[in-house]
Amino acid sequence: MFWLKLSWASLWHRRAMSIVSLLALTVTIGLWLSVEQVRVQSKAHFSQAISGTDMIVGAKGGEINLLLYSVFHMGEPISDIRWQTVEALRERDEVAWVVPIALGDSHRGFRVVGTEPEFFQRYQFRQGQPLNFNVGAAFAGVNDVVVGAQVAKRLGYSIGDQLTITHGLQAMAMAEHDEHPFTITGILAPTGTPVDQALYVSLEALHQIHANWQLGSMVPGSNVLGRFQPKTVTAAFVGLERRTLVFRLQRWIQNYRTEPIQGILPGVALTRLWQMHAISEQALRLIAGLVVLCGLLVLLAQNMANVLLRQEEYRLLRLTGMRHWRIVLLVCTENAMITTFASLLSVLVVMLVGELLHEWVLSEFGIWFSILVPTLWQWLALLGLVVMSALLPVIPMWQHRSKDQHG
Amino acid sequence: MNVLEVEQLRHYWDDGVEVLDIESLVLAQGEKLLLTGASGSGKSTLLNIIAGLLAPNSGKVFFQGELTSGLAPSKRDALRASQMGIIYQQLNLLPYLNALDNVRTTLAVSGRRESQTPETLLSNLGIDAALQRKPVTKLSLGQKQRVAIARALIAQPSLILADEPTASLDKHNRDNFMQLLMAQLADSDSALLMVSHDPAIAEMGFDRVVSLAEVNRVLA
Repeated sequence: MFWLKLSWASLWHRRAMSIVSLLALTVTIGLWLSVEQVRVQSKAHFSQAISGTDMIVGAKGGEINLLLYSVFHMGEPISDIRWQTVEALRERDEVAWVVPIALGDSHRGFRVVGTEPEFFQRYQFRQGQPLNFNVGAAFAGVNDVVVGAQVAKRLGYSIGDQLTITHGLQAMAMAEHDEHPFTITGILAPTGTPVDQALYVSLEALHQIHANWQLGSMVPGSNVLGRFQPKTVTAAFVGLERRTLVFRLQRWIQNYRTEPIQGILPGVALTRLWQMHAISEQALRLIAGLVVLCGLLVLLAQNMANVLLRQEEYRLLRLTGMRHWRIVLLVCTENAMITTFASLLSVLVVMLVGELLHEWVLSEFGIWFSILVPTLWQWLALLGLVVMSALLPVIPMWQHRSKDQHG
Repeated sequence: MNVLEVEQLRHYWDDGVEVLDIESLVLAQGEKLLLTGASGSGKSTLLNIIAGLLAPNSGKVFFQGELTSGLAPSKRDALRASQMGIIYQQLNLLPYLNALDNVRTTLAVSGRRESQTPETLLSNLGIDAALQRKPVTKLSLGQKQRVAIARALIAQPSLILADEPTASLDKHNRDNFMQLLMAQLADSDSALLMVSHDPAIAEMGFDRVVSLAEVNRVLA
């Protein structure tokens, strides 16, 4: 304990320099932790976009492509699937529920998803969290629309506002379905998933507006009323009675003869998709590593300078009979103390900033992240950093010893 | 039994100038020896060699019968920590510690148990509890010297080396310092080897006073 006190007293004696070192390391470690958290949270954000759905069924093609357009609303579907296929799925014993989705239209840059009201009960994200409405409720009629949190925020929508949707994904005035205005009946709570960036209407509404639409322009005077049965949808989210039935359903899908379809497991596809982005993860890791390396180099430079600046102090310690290794240990302890304080301070600051910005980032940018408590691996890395920083003075102190008159 | 024996000791400065050539110097257990000499006569160099801070060019230094001049630096460090107390002219207290912790440092380094606590020893030397917890930089010169005495004595060393501890003191403070030091040593078995250029302190309780010129052939 006395030795810790001695190291602390020495640090306090040089408190201006110690505080600068502490701040420099806090910033370094804070940056590293932040980059690390961005990496971890990006992965979590990405992989938790959908949950509770056991399978996504769509037209045969690449599984990543199906995942991208059905969940992330990115890219174009290769082909639609027939409504007959949706019904065939619903009749399977393995299947508990099926929620079809139809894509193709947009509203001011945001995707419009045609689906059924059940979508709002079945779609889950982030380990089984259900969708909630900030205000209002699911659509009940062909003129109702539900908007995601980001859509409402960016476009300044509230309940009762009217909007029209655009045919296709390009915002061309001529392609506007302005003959079919929608009224907002619900605004979803932020989820930090692609759900926030979409509008949801009934499949019936989509059918109606497209039934009046031929060859990319509206047929004047045409109108369709009453119930309908959609001919095609883009994909279907499927929930199973038991997850173990997934292989049985996969076999059925592979042998399905009506049209070429595929079923993907969202978790597996998400993992594969993330692996395709492994380079960005590695880049983030590299940046984080370089940040730490910079911090350690600064500390090493300071240690080397200290060996010269603190000659008198070391001489006084030697006069008491203190052995060289003990003096080295004292200096190592000082480094370990600074790095430990800097690590704890960084964790605290990153957690505090995370806590303060958590809601704001979700509502402003639609990015969800959990409170930034370091992972076990990150704690171990911090421990390693403390050990490494503690060992830094050994080399300059040893070099100093060789010049010591004492030898 | 002799605490210290120096034989055929020779030492040169880096530029080759000889500074010490001592045939023999002996210090008995409990003996208080004053070694006088002019500035630059090699007094401090001799103490540094005895303390193991400096290796002599040739010759032998025995401490309690053990040859120390050939020991590895780490062993000389250990010997200095456990068996010697040193009082310097500049006092050499650690500036970032208070009086009490300066004394405790010696105990921690030596690993020895004290016969009296650092608090008691400092109190006996006139450093009260409040002063003991003050940073040494806030103490007066006289108070610092008492702390330096306490630091040298706390581990009950066999040998106390004092390198011109009174050089920067006026007569009053010098006499006080010597009285305190001798009073503390009166009840101990510690030997004292003090070097000074001030012949006036020769009358202050030393068993023997030797001029360095008598033992250092370089000065002859």
